[in-house]
This record gives sequence, structure tokens and C-alpha cells, in this order.
Amino acid sequence: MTDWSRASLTDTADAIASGKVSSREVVEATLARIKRLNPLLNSFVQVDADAAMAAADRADGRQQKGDPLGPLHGVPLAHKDMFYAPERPSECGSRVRGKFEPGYRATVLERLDRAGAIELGRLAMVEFAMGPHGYNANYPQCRNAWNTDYIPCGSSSGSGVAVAARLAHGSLGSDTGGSIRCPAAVSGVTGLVPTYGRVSRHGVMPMSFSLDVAGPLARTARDCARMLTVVAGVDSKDSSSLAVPVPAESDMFSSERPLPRIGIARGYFDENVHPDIHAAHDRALDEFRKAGLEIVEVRMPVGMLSEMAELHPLVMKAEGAANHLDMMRERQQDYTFEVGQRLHAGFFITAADYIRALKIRGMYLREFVKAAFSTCDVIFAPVLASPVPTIAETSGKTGKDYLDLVVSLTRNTKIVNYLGLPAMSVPCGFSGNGMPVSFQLIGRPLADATLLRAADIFQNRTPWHEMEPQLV
Amino acid sequence: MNIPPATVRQMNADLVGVDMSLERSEQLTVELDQLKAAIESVAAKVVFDVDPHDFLVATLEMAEKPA
Repeated sequence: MTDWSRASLTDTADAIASGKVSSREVVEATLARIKRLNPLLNSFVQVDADAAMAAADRADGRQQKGDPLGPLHGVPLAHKDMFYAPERPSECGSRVRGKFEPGYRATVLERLDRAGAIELGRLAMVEFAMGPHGYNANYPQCRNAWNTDYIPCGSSSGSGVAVAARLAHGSLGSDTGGSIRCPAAVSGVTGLVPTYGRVSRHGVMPMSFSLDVAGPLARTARDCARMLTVVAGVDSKDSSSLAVPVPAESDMFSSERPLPRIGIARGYFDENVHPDIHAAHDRALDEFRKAGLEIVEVRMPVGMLSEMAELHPLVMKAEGAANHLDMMRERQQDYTFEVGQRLHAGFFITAADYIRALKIRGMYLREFVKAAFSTCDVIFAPVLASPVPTIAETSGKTGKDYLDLVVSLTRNTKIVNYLGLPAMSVPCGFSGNGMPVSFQLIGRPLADATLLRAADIFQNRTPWHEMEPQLV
Repeated sequence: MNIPPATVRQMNADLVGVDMSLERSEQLTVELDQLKAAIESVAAKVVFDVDPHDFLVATLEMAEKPA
């Protein structure tokens, strides 16, 4: 008998649509798994079991009546606790917003509702999405499903863990410097950061409005594509929203599309890559070659990338400080020590410096796209250059070594946010410590479908995305 | 570039108004120096006539063309 909590999002959606299984059966199986495993993993901060079961029954009822079904009809999802809904609080991983009830629904949640998705509850995240390790002193430690001694990365920590442990078929996260790709990478799941402006942020807690992107974490590229086509598209409530068509899911994976050419990033991204990760990447590139994709080497503009890596925190900290100044003045004691410290520098960045850092983004984007994509369609690079650290190595630490470790977690991802490019994290093996290894695919603006196609070609040839952690 | 701790403390008191220990305000000078150096090192690339919304223009200009 199929355990539908462990099937992929698209397989499950298709099975429900064809009547092979009911939404109730899928939701029930998933809730049972959450009940069993969440006390170990702490990926959910709240489970809405009754509401989910009621929604599943309504979904089954609509299907029995012959109503038209959306592409996520009856499929249970759960999202990072920063997507606003009127019927529940959005704590954003914080005490400050512990009782925050926004009173309206995020555009992306409305779109998931219309597609028939069912929400299981709220997922753990780093306080106010400010931190890449996944540690949040406000909650029990969210733990990596592959080995609970290891970090889940953040800030979409609960999203990566819940999808890896098969506690949700997919999840929306957000990414300001790596917060979808890093948790996806260390949890061995697939994560997509769409092009900046592709997905509405209306009703999504802002961290840094020039850099924030919402996107899916799921088991496969096809799962991410299904979620993307549902949530993407212009939204008059988000000033950054791009009025461009969203590719249809069937078009994304059409064999009539030309095979993408893969460019191996040489320079910057390939510095200090751990041998285990290097070896997994070499094997992944071999799979692309065997699939008939052309592989070329692309010299990265190293100086430019280093400059952008330095400018990213200037923009992020200035915007974060602007968002938090009033709350910091009134409720500083309710911020965790680490996040309070992270915000401080932003209060002192001058407006002139902040605006200068924004003024040159367009120039950098033009230069980078010309340098990176003149001979390829997709850049292949590491997400993380080092194996996943343990909780003991990261939690509650201070000092230079710790700060260097934190900075290293987002070194290869934050540049993408500064440029607003689409990117993916795709699992491709395991390192010597038994933890997942992933690669990053980066595309030019609006090349989301090209990335998904490349990842799907890889996943059609490899088992890594199907592997699941052995949990008691 | 060097932002003295006394300046940080004075700015915090007069402009920000968030409680901050003496030790933290001294640590911040290093972080602020790094951020200031980052933008100053690329100052020559900042074009007078370009505004921040040029980024969205560049996004569409450099976008992948439909297959």
C-alpha cells in the first residue's frame, strides 16, 4: 500500500485528481507522520490538524460533485511562518510578533488556495528571517532530518526539514541571501529562488525589500515548477511584481525546448570547495554530459562578485534596520541577542551609501549577465562549499570564527539576491559525514523555466531527490 | 576609513535611540568600517544619472528571451 505522505507533490496531486487516493487519506497520513516525527525535528511551530482535515473533506466533496480541480487540489503543504493569513498569527519566528494577526491573506496563499492546496500549519524559521544557520532561541531547536545533530540551515529551516522528512509535500520559503537554497541543500531537497519580481511578496514579512524573494522547496524540480506556476505572476499589490507571462508547466519540460548549455563557474565559486562536494559535483556534471547537455567552463568576474558580496549586507542591513527601528526602540528586550546584534549596523548606514549600493545594481546585473551567460544558459556552482556544520558548532556562539562560519554559509548565494537572478538548489549526493550535498544552478533574469528543465533532466537520471532520511 | 567608537555612541544616542552596550558600540565600528569601505571601493562605478529603479530595467533588458 502506498504511503502517500512520502510521494512527491506532483505524483500525489495527480493521484488525487485521478481518484486513486482521497485528499483525506493523504492529509491523514501526513498528519500522522508529523505527530510521530515533529517532536524530534521541531520543523512545525503549529499544526492545524482539525482545519487541515476539514479542508481535505471539503476538497474531496468538491471532487465528488465534479467541480473543476486546481493543480494542487487536496495536496497538503506547510509554509515558513511569515506568510500572512487572517485566521491565525504570523509569528515570523519572533516574540515581538508572537500575537501578530495581519488580518489579510498573502497573495501567494490566495493563489495556493485557488489551486486547491491544503495548509497543515506553520513552519519554523529563524527570527525575522535573519540568519543562515537555522538557530532560533525562541523555539525548540529545529533539527536536520538526516542527522539531528546537524543544523537545518535557515532562515527557511522548517521548510527544508519538513519536506525532507515527508511532513509536507511542498513549502513556501523566502530567500534574501540564501534562505531557500541553503536549507534545501542541507536537507537534500529541491529549492527554487525565482527571479526577483516573479512571485508576489504582498503579505510576506519583509526582511529586505530589494532582495527578498519567495519561492518553493519541494522534493523535485517538477514539484517546484507546479508550485511556481501557481504562485507566480503579476500582482498589483506588490510594486516589484513583474508583468511578464509565467511559463506553463508543460512547456517548461517540453522535449522541444533546446537543451540548456551548462557553464561550470570558474573563479570565486570554486574557491575552497571541500573534496567531498567537489567529487559530488563532478559526478553531477558527468550526468549532465551523459544526458547530452553541452558543458563549458565560464570564467567568473571574480572582482565584481567580491564587490557584490560586500554590498549585499549593506543593502540588507539598511533595509532591515528601517523595518525594525520602531519595534527595536519599543521592545528591544524581546529580540534575541543575535538578531538584535545583526540589526545594529543598519541603523548607522547613511542614506547616501545605501542608495549608492542600489544605484549600481543595474550596472552589475548587465555586466554579470554578459560575462556569465554569453556561452551558456545556466551557471553550475556550489550552494555550500563546506559540509554542513553541527548544531554544537553554531548555536549560541559568538566571535570571529563563528562569524566567519555564518558568512561562509551564504557566500555563494547572496550574490544571486543582489542581482535578482533565479537560482536552484538541487541534491546530488552525500558528503563523508552522511549529510546531503547539492549544487546550485543560476540563470539569467526570467530563466526560471530553464533552470527547472536542467534540474529535471538531472533528476530523471539520478536517485538523490528520492532519498529520504531514516527516521525512527 | 575609521569611524571612532565615540561617534557611534553619539549617533546612537542622538539618532537611533536603541539601547547598546559600550562594548557593542565599539565592535560596531569594525563592521561599519567594512560596510563603508565596500561602498567607497566601488564609488567610481556609481553613475550620477542612474536611479535605483534602473535595476528593474536591467532585469527585463537582460532577461532570457522566450524559446
